[in-house]
Amino acid sequence: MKRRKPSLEKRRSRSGYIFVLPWVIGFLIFQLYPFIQSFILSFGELTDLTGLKTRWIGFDNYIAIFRDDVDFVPAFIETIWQTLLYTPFIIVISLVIALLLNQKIKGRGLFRVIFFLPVLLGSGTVMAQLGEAANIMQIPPTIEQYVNYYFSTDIASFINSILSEIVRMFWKTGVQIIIFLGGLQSISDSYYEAAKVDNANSWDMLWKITLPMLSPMIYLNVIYTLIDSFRSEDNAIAGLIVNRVFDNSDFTYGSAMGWLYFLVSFTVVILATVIFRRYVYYEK
Amino acid sequence: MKNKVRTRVGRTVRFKTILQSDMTASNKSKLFLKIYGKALGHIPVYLALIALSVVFLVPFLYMIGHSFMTASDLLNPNIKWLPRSLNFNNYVYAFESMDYWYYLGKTILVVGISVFAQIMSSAFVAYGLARVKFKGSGVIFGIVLFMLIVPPQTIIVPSYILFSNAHLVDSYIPIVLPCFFAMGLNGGMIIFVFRQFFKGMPAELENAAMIDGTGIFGAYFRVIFPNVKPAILITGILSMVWQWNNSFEPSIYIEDSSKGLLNIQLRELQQSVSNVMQGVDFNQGINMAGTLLTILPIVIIFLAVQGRFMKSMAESGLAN
Repeated sequence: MKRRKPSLEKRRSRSGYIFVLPWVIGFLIFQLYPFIQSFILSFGELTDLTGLKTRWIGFDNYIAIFRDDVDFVPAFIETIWQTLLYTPFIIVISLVIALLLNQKIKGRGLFRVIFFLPVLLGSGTVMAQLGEAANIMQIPPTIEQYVNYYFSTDIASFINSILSEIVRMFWKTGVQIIIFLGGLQSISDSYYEAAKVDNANSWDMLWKITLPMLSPMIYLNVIYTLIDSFRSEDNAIAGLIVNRVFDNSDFTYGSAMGWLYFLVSFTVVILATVIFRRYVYYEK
Repeated sequence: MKNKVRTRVGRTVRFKTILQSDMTASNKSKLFLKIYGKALGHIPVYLALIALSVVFLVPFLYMIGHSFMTASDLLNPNIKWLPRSLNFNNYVYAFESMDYWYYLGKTILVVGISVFAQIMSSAFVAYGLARVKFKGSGVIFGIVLFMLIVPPQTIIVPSYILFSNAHLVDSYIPIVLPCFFAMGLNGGMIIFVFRQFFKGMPAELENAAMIDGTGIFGAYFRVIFPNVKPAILITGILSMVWQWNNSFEPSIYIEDSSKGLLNIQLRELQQSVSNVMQGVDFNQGINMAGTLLTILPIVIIFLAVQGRFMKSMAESGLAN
């Protein structure tokens, strides 16, 4: 064993700062500065655009959002509700698909590619435009026709709307499936061998071995799904903020909206972290 | 135990029900089950996978089918999926109207630089966070994760004003520049992935490289960074796909759409040709052709590396 001199240790720790230097510079300019600046903006009224000079008006922007803006509260509730509703379904769907894909069957490579396809165009202009223009992120039209044929109008539209929600959830599962697959493949076969000696069936093994061993991935996926959903550019609140800021050039008002949105999404993610952390099982 | 057939993956498949339905089952059919049981057990898995694939493939098939449709095909209620003839007029129109080659080249250049810069800088930072002990590294990683939660909409206003004052609006510099500092689109996630890989790397590799007399930076560039190819592949593909499809930042920084990338041209095309009458968009075929042209390059790149990509993801140990 080579003994390290303290100077080497010190030099090494100094090199650590050099490694993170690019990030520190970027963080200060591109993240911290705008983050604080938008906080200040949200309490002011712009008097000089280029110098970003504002007049302090306290909580007026925030009050106006809730009192005067007819679009904000509905868009806000829709985004939060959709995120909270979608996340558990996305986790379950991607877990089921990952379990299916983990079976040793022929052609699973092909299926993996198919299930990853939505990631290639699951965001941005392409999908937003397609969803809007062509409605192709919907259920197959034939199924819709059958539903319309067999049920009364109210029930049919209810079923169809649920089905199309499910399709939309499917389209958000690509990355999660792959994370689960990676987790499934890292579970040692010896656990299953031991369970089989004890006559366990596959249902027991799923609950007693697979899920506990997967719990770190479930945790990661919950957080990823929440963040992905809040950062998504096609949710209602994101569209509204851009609209207020850049179409109406109302920078301070838009900043207040942005900060409200941040505070709520932050609270949700932190709550999820605290809740799910307790259930994560780490292999000793 | 006799009515159970075990598969290699340790799943136990029951054939009780099959056997019960045929109580006079001869030894022959039992033998049949023993031999083919494993394959039979996979039938429900196949059925489920095929049913689920349909959900994912339908939009693609719809898109491909419609990209060949003429206006009269679109109006014909009997035509749902397959066009009556293979006509490439939609593609020709979309191709010319989007000035495809020019914007494709521009997109490859901008996305290529962003992805390269983002990976080089993020891996560098992630290595410091994962393998070098220094005061504050935990705090920095905490901030990296914290900034992931901050929606881009929250900081977009001051960022826009910052770049606008620097006269950099209507260019891709506001989007590419942060990539050189381990920022950029979902930059925190890329640092996170690299950090996981570096943490799982055996220390021997590092020590061997250091003993050769090169400093830690030499060791990093010569030995350590080239050894995380799976991480480079994963982050490269994800970063490419995100940047290629990114429309939020460009929609703010790019005011003159002719200065945008391929996806901005697609949006322009869709807005210019959209011609909806009685619920039918006569030019939907052109939209679909343009959309396919826009995503085709990343689909080709992904298909070319998908085998290695999936393997890398499986080995990543992302959540450990």
